[in-house]
Amino acid sequence: MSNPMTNPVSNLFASDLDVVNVGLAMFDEDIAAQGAHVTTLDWTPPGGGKPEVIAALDALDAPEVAERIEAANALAVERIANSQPMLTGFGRALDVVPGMTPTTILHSGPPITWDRMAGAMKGAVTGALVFEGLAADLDEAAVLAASGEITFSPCHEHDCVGSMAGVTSASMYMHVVRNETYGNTAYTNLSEQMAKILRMGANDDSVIERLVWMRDVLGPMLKEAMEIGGPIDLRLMLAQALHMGDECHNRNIAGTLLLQQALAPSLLQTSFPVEHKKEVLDFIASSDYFSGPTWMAMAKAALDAAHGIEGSTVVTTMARNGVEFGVRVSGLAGDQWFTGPAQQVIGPMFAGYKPEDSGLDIGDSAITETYGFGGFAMSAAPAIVALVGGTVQEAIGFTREMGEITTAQNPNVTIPMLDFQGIPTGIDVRKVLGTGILPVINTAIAHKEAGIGMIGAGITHPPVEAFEKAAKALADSLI
Amino acid sequence: MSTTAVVKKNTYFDSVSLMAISTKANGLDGVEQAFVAMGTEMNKGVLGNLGLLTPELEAAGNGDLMVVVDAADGADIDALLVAVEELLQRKSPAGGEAAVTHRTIAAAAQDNPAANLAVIAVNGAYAGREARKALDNGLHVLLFSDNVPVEEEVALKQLAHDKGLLMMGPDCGTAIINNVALCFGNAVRPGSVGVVAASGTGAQEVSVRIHTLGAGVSQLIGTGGRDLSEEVGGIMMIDGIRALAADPATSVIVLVSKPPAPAVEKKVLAEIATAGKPVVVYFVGGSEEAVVAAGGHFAASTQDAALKAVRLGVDPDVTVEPLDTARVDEVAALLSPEQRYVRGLFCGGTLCDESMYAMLDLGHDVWSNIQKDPERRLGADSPSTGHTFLDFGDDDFTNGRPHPMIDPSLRLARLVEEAMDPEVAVVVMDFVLGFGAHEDPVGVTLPAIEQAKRIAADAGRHLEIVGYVLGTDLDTPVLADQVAALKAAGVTVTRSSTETGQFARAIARKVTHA
Amino acid sequence: MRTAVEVRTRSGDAVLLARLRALDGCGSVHSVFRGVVNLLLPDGELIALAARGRENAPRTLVVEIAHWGHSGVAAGRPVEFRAGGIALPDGAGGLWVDAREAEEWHPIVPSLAAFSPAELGTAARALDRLTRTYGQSGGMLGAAAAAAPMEIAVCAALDRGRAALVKAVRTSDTAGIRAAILALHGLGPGLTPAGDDFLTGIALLSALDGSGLDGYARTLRDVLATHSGRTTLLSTTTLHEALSGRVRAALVDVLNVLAAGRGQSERHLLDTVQNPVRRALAHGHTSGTDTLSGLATGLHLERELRGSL
Repeated sequence: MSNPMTNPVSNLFASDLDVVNVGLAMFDEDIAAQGAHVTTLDWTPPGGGKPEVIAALDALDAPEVAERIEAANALAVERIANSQPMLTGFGRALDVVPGMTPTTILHSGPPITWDRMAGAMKGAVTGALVFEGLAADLDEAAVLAASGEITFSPCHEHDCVGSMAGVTSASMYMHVVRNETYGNTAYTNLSEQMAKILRMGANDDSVIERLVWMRDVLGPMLKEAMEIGGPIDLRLMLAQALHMGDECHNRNIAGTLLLQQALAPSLLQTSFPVEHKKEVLDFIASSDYFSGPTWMAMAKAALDAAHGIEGSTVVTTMARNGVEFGVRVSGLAGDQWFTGPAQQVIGPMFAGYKPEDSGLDIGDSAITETYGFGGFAMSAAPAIVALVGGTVQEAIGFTREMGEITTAQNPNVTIPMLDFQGIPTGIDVRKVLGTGILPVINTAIAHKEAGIGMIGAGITHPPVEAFEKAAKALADSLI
Repeated sequence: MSTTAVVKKNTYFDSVSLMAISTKANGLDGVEQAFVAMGTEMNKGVLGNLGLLTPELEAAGNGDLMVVVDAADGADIDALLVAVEELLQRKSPAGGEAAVTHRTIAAAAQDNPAANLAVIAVNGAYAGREARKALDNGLHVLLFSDNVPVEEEVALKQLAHDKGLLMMGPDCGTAIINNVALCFGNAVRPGSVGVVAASGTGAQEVSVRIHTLGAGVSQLIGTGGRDLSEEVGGIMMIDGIRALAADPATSVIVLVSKPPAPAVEKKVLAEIATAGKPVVVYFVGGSEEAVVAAGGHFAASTQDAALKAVRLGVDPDVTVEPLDTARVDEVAALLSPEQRYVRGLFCGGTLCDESMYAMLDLGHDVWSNIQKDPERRLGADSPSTGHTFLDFGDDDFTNGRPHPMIDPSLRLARLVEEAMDPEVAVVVMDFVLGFGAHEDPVGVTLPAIEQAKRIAADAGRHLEIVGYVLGTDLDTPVLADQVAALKAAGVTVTRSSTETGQFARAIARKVTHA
Repeated sequence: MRTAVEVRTRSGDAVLLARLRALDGCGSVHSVFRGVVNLLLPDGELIALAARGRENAPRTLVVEIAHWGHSGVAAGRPVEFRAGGIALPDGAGGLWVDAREAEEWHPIVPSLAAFSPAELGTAARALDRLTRTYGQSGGMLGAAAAAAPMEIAVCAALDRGRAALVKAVRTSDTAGIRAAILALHGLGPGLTPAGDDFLTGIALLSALDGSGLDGYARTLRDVLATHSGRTTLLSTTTLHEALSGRVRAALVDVLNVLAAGRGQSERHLLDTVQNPVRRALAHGHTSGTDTLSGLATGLHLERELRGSL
């Protein structure tokens, strides 16, 4: 038995007036002065006021369309939240990554040709060609890269994600992360630790030497350790890391300790000599970032399971190649990218560098925000706010604001400071355009020139154009 | 039927949440009845009398919350308990101290379940969309924006009607809901007169007159200026009448509008029969016959509408003072024979209308930017001619500028211009106080008034300025101060919109016949 | 570790502020709501910290916080009362509520002595009518349409209690008053059970100068002393304060406006008191309604005790 519905107008007359004020702030004061509660919106025209975007949003708002979208989005976030990605092993890209060949170079972000690549990506590509022995030196590598003999392809189109330049070549060792719930697998490269590294565009001898050691010692030892120790539940570990103050994009100190704790016994049991084991443990300890790629692969495994649900407006990919920012949307299956120009990253720089030295936003690491951590879980990581130049209150505000553009909260990954609220999950293209709130991304800053590396960290946002194009394509596909 | 109970030790919920839990628990499938209360002895006693006191409930203490569920036969008790637990565990909405601003109506409404009305004042191109979002979120709407296409207005009003919600506007400038004035409105006493109005300043004037007569307003529902057009068909006015008819705090209803479409007028008047309380109708230029035939009380002016309503619903003996004809004679005596015309410069549309109609009655040569007769319609740039009545709040004048109630500059310039015209006998002006209006409408006009009088005096004429201040003793600034300032500047102050029209008409009659 | 966030106190009960200035000791958080946090003083008595925008009330400080939803304050946590303020630790530094510059609030209530019996009757009728029009069913106003049998049973018991109390007070039957108070005490829905709210309304009147309800006040005081465990701590505290004429600001306003409207016709008075009454009604779910029902019943009784019917 439920209570009978009462008349909304009688209810209004019998209640205290409680006003949502949209557009004119001066009414706020007048209403408040008369003792009524009033909430004034920080209102901007939907879709930036562009008629064609509003038309697309209106088309997606039509009741029968909206109903289909709601159902599809509910399924999408259910698949994201229910995915249980397990770290099952490590392996050479050539051996494990679908479509990999000895002359393929994977890169971050949407598709891009050699001539248009950003400095950091060019640096990483030439370094990788030298590392693979395809070129004798960087100059020769540049000629080869331009020759058309190398296949460039986005990581995302090979079930992979790549940090920063994302440059992945055949003999690099990859994480293998299997989604136990839905059966798909995702891959990503190993952390090179440090600042002067290939993925940031650095490519001198020290960088190549490290890559060789990673190929010959680190990768094989991790592979053997996983065979000894068995799969690791990454979602559980991510949830723990967030409770320990990481947001798992720019702050990975707790996650790295947890991962190392899980790997250490097996690493000790591998067949490698003790000095190699010490090298590996020293390497892991040399940077908190060691587990950064691990969480990216974890997110990728979950989001791929939610891609391709007809009618869904949930974003399944946000990725940048240093020139363009691309998104993919669940309801637009396959490799349909919607792009806009990559943005500047705003944040503190290492000593000696200035904002004009920074390259534009780059890397597939925004997969973490797409899943709901990273910038979205900033309130889980108060310690990071100094790095990205904000306050704790602002960090809480970021998470709350992301709640306005997402579909649900993920009950499996929660934030203690927000009363164990789940992380905001399932970015909805419609909500991004309707509110004018863009996803917030925590990320590193690479130097704009090839060969230098990481020079800072900060916050950035996707370009709104990517979402506008996606909304139009969604409207076309759903009507 | 079986009884199941959940006892929460030392658990406290906001009373509103407690009620929500109780309501939601009653709505669960398989629940015959649910009861949520603290575990006091007396409450347990009542449960005992009903035979519902389980040992678990018996053990509940004063600070414990009892949730008692009576389940239907065959209901899945375990599932019910899980559902009840879920209700109890629902967390409060997210939101840190530093982040309480929302971008969308949906988010604001979800974060604040007590929200019940949206005031929307955005560009007309987006207004319909926002209004629809508000209605979809169960909010009543006051749509202040204009330039909303009429088809959109009809669709919004139909949607609101289907949901039982109020959809005031578009182009609704005034409402008083639960004694809170919204947008442009005056501080009036709460009371038992309900108003449904299709015109903003008309509604303000009627509410102020009701207040001045010692009565008060229960609700003032604005419908937007187009509600009584053929296309919209009076959806909001009809819903408004029904809402006030059902409102126990309303004893009498007043309807205010510019001339409605004839078919719509008929439909609206047909509501009077079923309202169950007296209905006073003031449709500018409307016919007494139709109103009386429908069982309503006809009002010939805003003053009359307020007076009849207060007499019918509050105090049968209330009266207003008649026009000061001695003052009319005094003024007429100061004028030269060539000063033959009245010029009205208004902020309020209905105030302009009311004075203009008073003149039209006489068959005078009346020109206006809001004239129904296209032959005598003036544009914003046209010079005044004959008796001219200008509504500075009309689109020709506002086009891109703030309303004259906020930005008086155009009207001030026009006042000086009129002073130079040797045929002008009287300039009539209104001054609107209240929420949303200029903070000192008289003060900002005084220099122009002095200048106008000086120009006329230098040319050897007396220029009479008649001012009406629409406001109450509760408004800021207060009515009395504004009136005193006008009087000190030599302005003849009238006491209502209706009297303003009467004064203009009486002067016009004198000078034309002189 | 963060240092405590400082929160200023806007205003507060003058009696409580005076007490806090001299207080040094540990208490605890009793309960946390969105708008109010209740604390236990070192001696176990209840006080409240209300969010900004809430009304002044006895034993209450109104502090500069929008709401307590995410303040980190949790029930059961220790609280330190130190000179001029209250520390609410939460592990990350917590809150320091600074009460030193709070504006003092004194509930000033009118006297009933100047009311004629007819004026008491008018006030009672106006209050009764507004409470019925704008109030919330489920407590003293009776069950809602289509309510569950349990609600109906509770409302019936409340109604019987009221009838018994009115009869006993009219005839100055002390034993009857005591039985009726016990029948209402702790009965009904809500954090402050409806029966207690009703008793609070009458208790408030009994504290006014010129009241004829001393017998009721004496008996209620005695019941509270001898049956301390019959209701929630919040209800007990509210009743004690009301017996001293100390109630939340909206109720003080209702009394003062009723006093200011003496001599007005009932219709006029309805207009005069409508606003404060509606503010007072908007408290809790049925709480405001039940307290004003008590006030209306009390006014009827005052009139009758002066011999006019």
